[in-house]
Amino acid sequence: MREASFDLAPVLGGSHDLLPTGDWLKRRPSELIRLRTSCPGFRELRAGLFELGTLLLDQPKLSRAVLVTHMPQVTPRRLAAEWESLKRLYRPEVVRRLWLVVFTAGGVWSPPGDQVLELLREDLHQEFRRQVGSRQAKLARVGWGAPRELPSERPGRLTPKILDILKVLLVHWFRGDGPVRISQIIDESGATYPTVREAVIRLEKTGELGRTSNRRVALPDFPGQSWPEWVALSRTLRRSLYLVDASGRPANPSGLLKRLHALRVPGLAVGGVVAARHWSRDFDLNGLPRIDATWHVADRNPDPDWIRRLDPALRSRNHPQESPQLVVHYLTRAQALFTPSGGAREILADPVETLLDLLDVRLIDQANAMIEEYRKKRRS
Amino acid sequence: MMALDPVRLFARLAEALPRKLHRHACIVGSLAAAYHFRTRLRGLAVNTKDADLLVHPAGDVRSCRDMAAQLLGLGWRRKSDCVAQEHPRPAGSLRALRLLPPRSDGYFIELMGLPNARQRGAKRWTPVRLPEGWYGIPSFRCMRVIGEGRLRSREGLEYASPAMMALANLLAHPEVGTQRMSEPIGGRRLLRSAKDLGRILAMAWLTGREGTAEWRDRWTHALQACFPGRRTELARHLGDGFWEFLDRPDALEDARVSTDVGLLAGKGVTVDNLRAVGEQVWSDLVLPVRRMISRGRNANEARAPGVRPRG
Repeated sequence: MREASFDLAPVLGGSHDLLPTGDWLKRRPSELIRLRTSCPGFRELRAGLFELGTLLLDQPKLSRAVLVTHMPQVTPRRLAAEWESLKRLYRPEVVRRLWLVVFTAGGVWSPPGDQVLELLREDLHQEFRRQVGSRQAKLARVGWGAPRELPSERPGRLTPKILDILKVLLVHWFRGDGPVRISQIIDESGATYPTVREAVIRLEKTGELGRTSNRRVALPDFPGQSWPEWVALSRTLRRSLYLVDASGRPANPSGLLKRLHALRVPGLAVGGVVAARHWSRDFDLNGLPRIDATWHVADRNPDPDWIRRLDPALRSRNHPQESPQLVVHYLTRAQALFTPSGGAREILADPVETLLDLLDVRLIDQANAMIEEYRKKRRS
Repeated sequence: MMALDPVRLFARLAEALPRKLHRHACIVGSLAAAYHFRTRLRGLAVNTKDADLLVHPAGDVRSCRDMAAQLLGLGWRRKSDCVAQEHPRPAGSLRALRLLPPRSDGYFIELMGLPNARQRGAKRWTPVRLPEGWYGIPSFRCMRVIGEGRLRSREGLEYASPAMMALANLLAHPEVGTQRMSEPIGGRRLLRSAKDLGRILAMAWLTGREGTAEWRDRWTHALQACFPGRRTELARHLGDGFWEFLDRPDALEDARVSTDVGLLAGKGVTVDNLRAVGEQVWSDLVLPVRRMISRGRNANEARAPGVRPRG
């Protein structure tokens, strides 16, 4: 069972199974419970409920999906109003199966539910109060310094720059670098100190980040609670170019990869399946569905002339159903954090970009397996 | 036009032609392309009406005569326009040797000659005498490259490689021009250049990009070997007609119609697909070959370690 700053296992374990995604699933009747240890604002709450609503539409056999989160800054009245808005927006068959439990400053709030749900809410709240009290003691025990008093102001929304910082922290976790200086995070992300501080506080509040006494920070574990939110927002924040082969011939990603290596485009690294095979020795997939490349650029509208040199038959796809041969993801943070491989013949994107690529190709099992592999490595 | 099984036709021709003359015969054109790509053709057959037979070495009139005599002796028949002339001059009045098989009017073979290095004109007629009179063996200057890198079929006959056929077609059309095919295809009288340049695209499409990348050195070598005195012209103008063709929607549509009844039948290849392949051919082959010829570099230099032509 994974360690978490707020663990549902004491309440659910036995009646629910923990999935690699971090969700809890009860099989009969099928019910999914998703934990977000913190929702800084209603935007994140809506994003979380939207994801669960989509899940319910895609999986008609799922009887219920529940979002459990902590929002100390909101009032029950505001939550009730938000829930009423949601009911008007979503389909009735989704609303009927969607539920919400929010731990507030004064207690717990949920929309009206049946007796089973009411009991679940009370059990969860009791467990939450028990764990939060012991969380800071645990951080102190593993040497992350004395518990800090966290600012009570409401955390800001997840901006592109904050997401860059969070991803940089995660890259260091994957690399096993241990605690990293905040100045290094500033250099690598290109963010200012206040923004880095905001990102650090955000993760501290979810219990997914620790500090040392000499101004270093690190993720003690893979941030499974925040990760779904980063993935959801990366889909909108990440700028990508999806390219199809207009020649109409059968796809040949391997041939394209050879040409890409030969072209040696400055600032370009290979991600996706190719990089995943490097990062994860147990990566399980036959073949190469497409090439994912991360392009580290200074401005947001660079001239992709190299694409034409790579293959003049590549065109931007006209609709999402077309399978791309090559996807170029733009990376605009200060440092690329790429890794040379094979005697510098190949430059690889970092593990976080690689994971996002895998999820974009819908290789969810492979992405989760890679996460688990690294979690085991870091624990040992 | 009819659907012909290229393997069967190769076997038939190999049987019909005197064995001692096999080494002088090279199948070119649509039949050669169909044979090479036979496993990828719809129904393992190709729509074509003629089997072009290139006789070599250059100027080998005797082999042409012996082949024609042998085929006629086996019952092959002259096409209606294949009429003997009394005199060998003017050469332009001579008719090509076009022979129908004994029991079919669905296709015919046409004898052509490999041009020699001295041929200056685009087309030249060489007189050949049979018992009934004079005929002409046409030789096209652009086809001089066909002699390079010939392939041998399992049936024993040689045929032109797709790389060299593509190059010959490229050279044959320095511009799109206005000449049209006499017989309509798909209800259209296609531009002659679109048919030939479209075949380049069809062969490139079937070969794949990795395969056509290998054509680059072969094109360079063939051009330097066959046209040593035309370096400047080739460096500047190789592929001019091809580039014009890619820029002409009407010509590309003619190419699509032609390839759709030929090598790419049933594959649903569109004009956009053909244009994309054409851009690859331009970028991967024409431009680099122009540069290599311009610098006077040959294929061996291109392959030498540490020497990379800029693509």
